[in-house]
Order: sequence, then structure tokens, then C-alpha cells
Amino acid sequence: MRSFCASLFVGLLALAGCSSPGAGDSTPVVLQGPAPFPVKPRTEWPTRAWTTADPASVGIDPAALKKLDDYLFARHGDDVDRKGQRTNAFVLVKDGKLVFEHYARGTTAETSLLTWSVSKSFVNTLIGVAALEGRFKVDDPAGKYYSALGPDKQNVRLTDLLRMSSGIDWNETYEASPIFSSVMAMLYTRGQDDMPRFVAGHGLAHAPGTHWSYSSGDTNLLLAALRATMSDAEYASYPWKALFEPLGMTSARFERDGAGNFVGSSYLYANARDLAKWGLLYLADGVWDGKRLLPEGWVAYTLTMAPAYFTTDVPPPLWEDNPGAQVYLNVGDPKRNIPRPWPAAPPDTFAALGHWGKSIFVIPSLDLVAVRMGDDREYGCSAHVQKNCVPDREKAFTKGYYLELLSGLVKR
Amino acid sequence: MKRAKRILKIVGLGLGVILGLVALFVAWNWKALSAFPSLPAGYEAKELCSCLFVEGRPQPDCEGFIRQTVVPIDGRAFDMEGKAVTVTALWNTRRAHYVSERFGCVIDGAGR
Repeated sequence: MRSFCASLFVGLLALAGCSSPGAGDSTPVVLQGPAPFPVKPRTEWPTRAWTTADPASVGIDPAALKKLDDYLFARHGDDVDRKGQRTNAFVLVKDGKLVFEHYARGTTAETSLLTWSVSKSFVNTLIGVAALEGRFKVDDPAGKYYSALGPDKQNVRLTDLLRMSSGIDWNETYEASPIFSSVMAMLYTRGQDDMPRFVAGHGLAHAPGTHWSYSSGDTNLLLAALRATMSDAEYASYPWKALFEPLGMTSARFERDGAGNFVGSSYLYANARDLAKWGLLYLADGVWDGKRLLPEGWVAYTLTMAPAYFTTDVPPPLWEDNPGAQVYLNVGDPKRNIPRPWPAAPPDTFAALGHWGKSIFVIPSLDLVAVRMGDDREYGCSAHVQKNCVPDREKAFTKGYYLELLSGLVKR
Repeated sequence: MKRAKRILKIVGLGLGVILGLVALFVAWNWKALSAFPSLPAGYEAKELCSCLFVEGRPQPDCEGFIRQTVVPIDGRAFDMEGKAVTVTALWNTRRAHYVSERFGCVIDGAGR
């Protein structure tokens, strides 16, 4: 009876939340302050070509690097059964220099690789560039620009979308439940002709800004708001003018839906060397070779935990995700005894992460950027969040072990 | 005899209730269920197109990349010159084509 009353109460609360979607957290976002780590001055930038360096000359232990390389490219399993490490490309940047790269499974330094959700972190950058241009403020309601967002979603702000806290009803599953997956429907069936419009057709499940829930829909709404600030012709070349050309990302390809919207949730392609430049831009607090691309305070904002995370019930399987603004952090939540997701890596580590083993890990305290483009179909369990977990590192890629090896490259 | 009739009646009623529940479930989830049969062909066509013409990988690698074991595929057609891929699965034929170097591939309009 008690639990019934409790659930009734929770249900009424939820109803109250639905009936007044304006009741969410609307704490204004103030972009200010430096990056949450010391920014190292650099004289060389990889816009045209990378400066290379011998790993040992920048303080990397060659034996530790060999161990990492062996782990990433060991082929213990059967490729047909999709077992074992399935790394296609690995690029390591230390002190702004390219110190190591390894390609396999038909990939070369030139291959533009599918990044899946790593794309989302580049959308963060595009929105930051647009904010510096004065196209909008992150506090603005998204509906002010993208009118397809109905009146029920008028309080969804750009910052809520950046922090995946829009409250929009969304089912982000992939192979596990394809029939009811919102993201599969968006990419391949009901949404394919106009993805933002498909997302905008969903109702609100929570008051905006109060509930964190991973959503590819939120990312694509950000780009719809961006598109509304310019002509269609300008939008079609915007990612290149705003970001890919300044960074010299000549390998970048960006696929669109049937209506010409960039699929920012999933479909950015670039080679591993170009992807590493994203890490360097954030390490430099948004200033690339003397030119400020991101607003002051943007990197600090990006690397701040989504406030809604702290008001959302987060069960252990979700402890792997510490959401910033379209990037993932390594801080945990001490108040709720939620451990850091990557205990072997320094607490300042952040990442762009994508399906099937795509990642850009950035470790500011080691001045390290590591791009790994994999095609993992089996993941090792995480010992610190799952009970009785003994990850089989040979048969499945284990992120925790990868980060242990990565963090061990530089003697601290 | 009477007993058999009674059992038949109960079974019939049970079946009716189950069918009713299934019908309700289908109606309630019609949007998601009716779109699903076109998903596997759409997924394969799009990702095969991008794998071949954006990533530039060999066809066997790409077929290995998109392989799934849930839904049988009835046919794949590769237009290597016109840069397009057509896939048929679950009575749905979907095509994706290469647009340009910058914009990669897109699924042909379906409007569903």
C-alpha cells in the first residue's frame, strides 16, 4: 500500500511536471572564465600538416606505448564473429605533436571514417562558433529560431539541447529494440526526410532542464536552430567555413537528411588525424593559432556537468556517462557516491564518444589527445560500476583498460 | 460432451481476449510498427552507400560491417558507377545514393 501511495504520488508529480513544462530549471547560463585546466602555449598548429615527434622526446614511455598498441590491435577473436579488438585507426597527439599512429582493417591515414556520435561533439563546436558570431545566446529558447518546436516546447532552451536535458520524449536504443527506437526511426524511416521535424513532433516527457537523457534528437534540433539563422546556401557550407576550413579538416564529410539538415547526431566523417584537431582546439580554450573560434567561457561551459544530471535518477549502467555539453566528463557525483567513470584516467579527462568504439579522449593534465576509431561489437564490462564484473579484455574492447594504458604513457 | 463445449468456450474467450490485446497493442504502437518493415533495407542501403563511397572501403568489408542477423535480406544491388545501393528486405525496397564528396550519401525520399 505504501509503495502504491508512493507511486501514485510520483505519478501526480509527473503529471504536474507535464502540465506546466515551464517549471524547469532556467538558471541563466553565463559564459565566462578560462578552461578548467592550464592552457599550454603552442607555436605550431596542424592546420596544413602535423608536426611529428618521437614519442620518447615528449616524455612517452616507449614500452608503455607498445603495450597500448599491442592491446588496441591484438586480434584474439574471429572477425566474422566480431570478437576481439577491432581498431581501425589510432592517432596519438602529445604536446600538440603527432607522436604515433596505426591503421588497420583497410583504413589509412587518409580514410574519412564514420564517427557516429563523435559528430555530436563537433556540433557543440559549431554552435559555439555561431554563438561567438552573435547568431544566438545559449539561453535562448530553441523555438525562437526553429518554429516547428510547438508551444508545449517553448521553454526548451539551446542549453537544454546542448546538455541533453530538453525533456523531449525520446527512446535512444539501437540494435536492442529497433522497433521502438526513436533514433533508428529518425535515421532510417519516419525521420529520414526531415530529422529535426521528426524530433519536434515528439511530446515532452519532463520539464525542460530537469531531466538528463541521452538524445540524438536534441543534437539535431540544435542544428535546426542554427539553420534558421541563415540562408539555406549559407547553411550548406557553414560547417566548412566555421570549423573544418579553419582547422584544416580537409577529410571532413557531413551527411544530410532529405531536407538538407546536417545529421549532427551521427554522420560526420573524417580521418583520425583531422579528428584529433578537435581535442587541440578545446585544449587551447577555443583559440586556434591565434584566432578565437569559440566564445570565452565556451570550453568551461562545455566541460561543466549538465545540471539536470544531478536531479535525474542515474542507475549504475548509466554511470559510464558524465554529460557535459555534447561531451563526456570524468567527475562522477560524490554526493550520490557515483564514482568517476574512468578511474584510471586523470579527473580532467574528457571525451567525444560514438557507437561501436569511436572516441576522442583528451587528457589536459598530460597534454594528450587520443583518437581511436574502432568497430567494436562487444564491450567489456566496467568493474567499478558492475558487480561481479571480470572484463574479458581479449574478447571485447574494455574502455577502462584502454584508459589505464593511455594514462600510463606519461610518467606522472 | 458438455464439458468439452465448455472448455472450447473458455479457450475461445481466452483467444479472443489475447487477440483483442494484440490488436490494442498494434493500434497503440501503429506508427512504430508500420514503419519498422522499411528499417532494415533503409539501414543497409544507407550504410552500405556511405561505407563504399564515403569511406571508400571494399564491398566485402562493407557487407561485413552492416551484417545483422535479425532480419533476412532478400537482395542487394550495387550500382558502382552511379554510386547507389538498393536493398530489399521485409518486402521493402530502399535505395540510397551518393550526393557529393562533402555531403556523402542519403536515403532516397520515402515520405513515410
